[in-house]
Amino acid sequence: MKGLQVFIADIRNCQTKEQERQRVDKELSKIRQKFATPKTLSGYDRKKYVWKLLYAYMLGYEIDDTGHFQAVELCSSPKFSEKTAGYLATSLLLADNNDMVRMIVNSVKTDISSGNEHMAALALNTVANIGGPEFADNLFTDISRMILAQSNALSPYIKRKACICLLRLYRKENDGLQPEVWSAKLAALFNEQDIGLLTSASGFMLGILEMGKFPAPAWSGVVAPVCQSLANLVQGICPEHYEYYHVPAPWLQSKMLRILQFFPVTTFDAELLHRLNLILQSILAKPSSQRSPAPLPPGPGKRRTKVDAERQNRSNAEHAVLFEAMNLMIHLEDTADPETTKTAAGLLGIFLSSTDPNIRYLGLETMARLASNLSTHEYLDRYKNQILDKMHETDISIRRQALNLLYALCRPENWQQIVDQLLEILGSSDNLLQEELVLKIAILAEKNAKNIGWYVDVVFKMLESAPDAVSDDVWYRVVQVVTGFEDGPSEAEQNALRRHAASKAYQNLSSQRAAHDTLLRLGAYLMGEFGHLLPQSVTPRAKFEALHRHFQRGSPQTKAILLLAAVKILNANHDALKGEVVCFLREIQDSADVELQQRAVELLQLCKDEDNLDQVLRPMPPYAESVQKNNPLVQRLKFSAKNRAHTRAELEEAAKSEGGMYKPGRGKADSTDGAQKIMELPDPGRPSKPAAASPPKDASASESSDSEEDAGPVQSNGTGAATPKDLWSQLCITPQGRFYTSPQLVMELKQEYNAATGRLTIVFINSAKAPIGNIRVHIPQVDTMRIQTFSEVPSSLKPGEQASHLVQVQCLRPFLQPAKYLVEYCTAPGAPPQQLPMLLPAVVTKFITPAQVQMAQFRQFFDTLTGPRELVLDGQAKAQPKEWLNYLGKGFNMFVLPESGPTAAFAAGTLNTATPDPAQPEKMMTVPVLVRLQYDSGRNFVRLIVRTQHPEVTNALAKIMQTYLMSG
Amino acid sequence: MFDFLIVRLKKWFVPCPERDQFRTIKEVSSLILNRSPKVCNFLEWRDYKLCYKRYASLFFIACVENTDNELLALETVHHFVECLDRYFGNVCELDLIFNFHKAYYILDEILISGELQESSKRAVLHHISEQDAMMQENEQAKRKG
Repeated sequence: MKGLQVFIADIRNCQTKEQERQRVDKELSKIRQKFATPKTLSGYDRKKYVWKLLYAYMLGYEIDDTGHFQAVELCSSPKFSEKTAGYLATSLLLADNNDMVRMIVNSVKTDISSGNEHMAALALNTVANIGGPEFADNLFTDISRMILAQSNALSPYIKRKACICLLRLYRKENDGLQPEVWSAKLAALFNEQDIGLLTSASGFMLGILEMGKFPAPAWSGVVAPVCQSLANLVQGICPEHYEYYHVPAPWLQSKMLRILQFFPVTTFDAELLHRLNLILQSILAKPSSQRSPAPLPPGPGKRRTKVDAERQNRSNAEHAVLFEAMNLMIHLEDTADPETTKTAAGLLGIFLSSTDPNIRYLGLETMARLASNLSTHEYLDRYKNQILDKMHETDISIRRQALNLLYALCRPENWQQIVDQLLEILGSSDNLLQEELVLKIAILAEKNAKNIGWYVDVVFKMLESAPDAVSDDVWYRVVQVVTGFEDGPSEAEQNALRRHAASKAYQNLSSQRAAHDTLLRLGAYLMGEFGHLLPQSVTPRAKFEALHRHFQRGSPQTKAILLLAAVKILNANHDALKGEVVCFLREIQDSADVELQQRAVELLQLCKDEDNLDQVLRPMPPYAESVQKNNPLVQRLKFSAKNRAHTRAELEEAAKSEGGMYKPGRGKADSTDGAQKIMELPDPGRPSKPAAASPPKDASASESSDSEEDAGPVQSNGTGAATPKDLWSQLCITPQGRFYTSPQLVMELKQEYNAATGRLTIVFINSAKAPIGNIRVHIPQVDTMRIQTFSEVPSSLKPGEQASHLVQVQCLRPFLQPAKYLVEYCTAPGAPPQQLPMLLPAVVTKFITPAQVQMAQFRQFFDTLTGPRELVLDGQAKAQPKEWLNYLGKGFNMFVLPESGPTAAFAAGTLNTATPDPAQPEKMMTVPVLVRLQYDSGRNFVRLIVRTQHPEVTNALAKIMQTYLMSG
Repeated sequence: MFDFLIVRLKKWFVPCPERDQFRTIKEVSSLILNRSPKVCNFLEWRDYKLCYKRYASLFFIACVENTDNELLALETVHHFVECLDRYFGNVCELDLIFNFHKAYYILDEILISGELQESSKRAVLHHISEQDAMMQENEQAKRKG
């Protein structure tokens, strides 16, 4: 194809990126012109231009929807070469253009049933590569029939493609594969001989298990044939052309080993376990002389020979199977042959010093999984020093794995060595790893130290060597531990710890000149709360001075903590310090920072009444025992389970738990299970199914939770009609109102938004006749918003008293899941804390600002935003057209075009984010948003069309608007 | 090391808007180009793993799920390279540049929807040569008609 070759050669000859761009632009405009008069084009031309477009696409040029239509036309061409080009272009360019994909459904159907194997193959490739709702709706049945058919009419070639196709469609439409029908069929597939077909069938089976739609045992019919097939391969029964560098079908072996990891060990009978153990044994016990050694890494100037390269391929294939076998062994736990486990531990030990970095990496990863079974530590402990050495490798991938492994291996007997070494590494480690190191060190020290004072020392050491990596969570946790927990050690012991912590703080603050902000916060808090426990030799004046000298340097939040700490010290030493502290407070009364100013004035006022001061500044009571068990730092660590086989549901669960899984303490007995579900308010912005399939979603019907599994009772902590969810969904469209209401505590919320930034003020009001204490708020960080708090939450409220909490949110990315706002309080001393899992009403519509556009502009722009950037939802109208203006304008902050009327409305806005635009770093990313509503008064139906430049935004907005505008 | 990066082949098995494709490629390639040749071929990236291998001046990068078998991801890349090598006979970058469509066809016979469907080089090349033959017949038929 000459034209294409010339085009490619031209581009290659371009000297600069700019020249290249000009050449591509020229070609694109030529192609667009040609496509504008399609009648004159031959199939050959079409094919040629589509190839050129693909080349430009590959180089990263935006070709928008040029050529989409031509690609679709080529698919139905009778000429094989044109058809090939059409299908390939379709799968590369049109994957997210549903309207176009719909147009090739018929071509696909024709080709699949054409009887021509190669045409059918092309069509199936395309279906598998695109997936998508159009194909799922129209082709699922046809393709399942191909696999279910009893006849042998189809070749393994077509069958294997059909398997993967069906898997792709099943991921979209996962009601289609019922175990009653499919389990036997899949089991029969595993009796096939063709390795290619078996490989695809294994992928298909793995995909089904990963989806987790049905519990794995529903598919247990496949276990025996998989095991048989695997045993054959392990014994070397395999056609020669499926041997990969002398390893029999390594892909198939690994996939089958992985399939078995999905089944609970209890589903394996003794006979099967015996067979599995034999398989594992023969994989693992292969003498190391037969296992090809990894080649040496290429030295300077020395070229790798072909033999080296081949040895590398063989080694990779062998180790791939070996690691997967170890994963299965780890899954079998105690039913695995202990000798095999011992062999595995020994091999992993050898891998630590492998010359091949890949093997070192995977060895560490697998060893960490193995270490989750404590009984293996006797084999693994001996490698501790070697693993610590790995923390000095230059490769961050390996250091990360080594750290994970050390974390898994750490116990009270060896923690000190591990933690000491990690502390040593911390200072010189790069930022990427530091934060994880800090979290892990803090957790390990707390969990393992016999003398908890060491834990405090460890945190201070971290503040010295890597203060920037110590997040607030870390020092909050120190405060919890030092304050103590209910049912903790004796008061004397706890006081010894407090004294230790206070003196550590004093030493640091009095000796350091420019203490880091985080160190200041922790130090100030500890000095304020526990400074009175310091030995007599430290005079009150010295204590105050230790705080005062850092005041100017602190951040506003730190200053506030310092201020409070100073007053607490005053409270303990009234006579000695009154003059200084009052003078200090007076100075700050004139501070430019309003928060500080207010705090200073209040504290000055308090100082006048010593009894009252004493009352207000009484030491914190110990934290609940549940707080001790649920270390928030552990929740922040990434999920890592010993098993490599995960269902989607498990992975999603894990993803949710990251960022703080706050367990509500509704009582010790039932607080462990389903904790997460209880705390999640049903969220109208998160329907998990397309509109047509979802049940009517009514904001007031709060019992209809939308995540299928937890359809049980949700929660009933609301009193009377206004549930927290009602209040929340009202606040999502109004600037202020009631946030929470109960006989004891009432919360009011006010919010102001300016582009991507919102300020929320939450006012806590004690409406009971008794004081409320131990008020705490936890806002788990989310990656879609930047959340900062600008004032402390009041720790207690007297009857009738109120206090406010200032929170600032910044939208970074489009999101559906609102941020959590977890409140805890006690209504009586010693009473179990009440926990309120609230959500902030800062939903994505809050970050929209109106965009004044003319109707013509609106239309023009509206028409360009198609494909996944569009979402159309139909439903019974909940809000009548006369209310639309209110919802669109005031609720969703959009500009409503004056052309809007009772049957149709048009609104435009801009979603603001605080994420810099990669194209123009000085600007923040914004996303234009267009909404159109249509009303059919006869049926009281409303159609909501949301089009934005970004599919995620479209999705989030549509889901939110739907809850207010439609009832079903 | 490189003035600018040139993409020779890209394939997404999940829909991804063009703009994001560009950004992702830029981010991923700069991460990988900055790694020394002596370190391992895996890198955790977002919720995925990048497995990459270098052949002369070409980098082949596969982004796989965290739970996938990393070594096999590498060998899948190599399997693809070997198929290219056999098809073109000692493949070089120029073959891929001028015949990028062929490379896509071959890839489609190895992986669809990100799943490996055929691990035998012989089988892959057999199907490709049959396809080539069909295209030839087509051309000839055209000439006669």
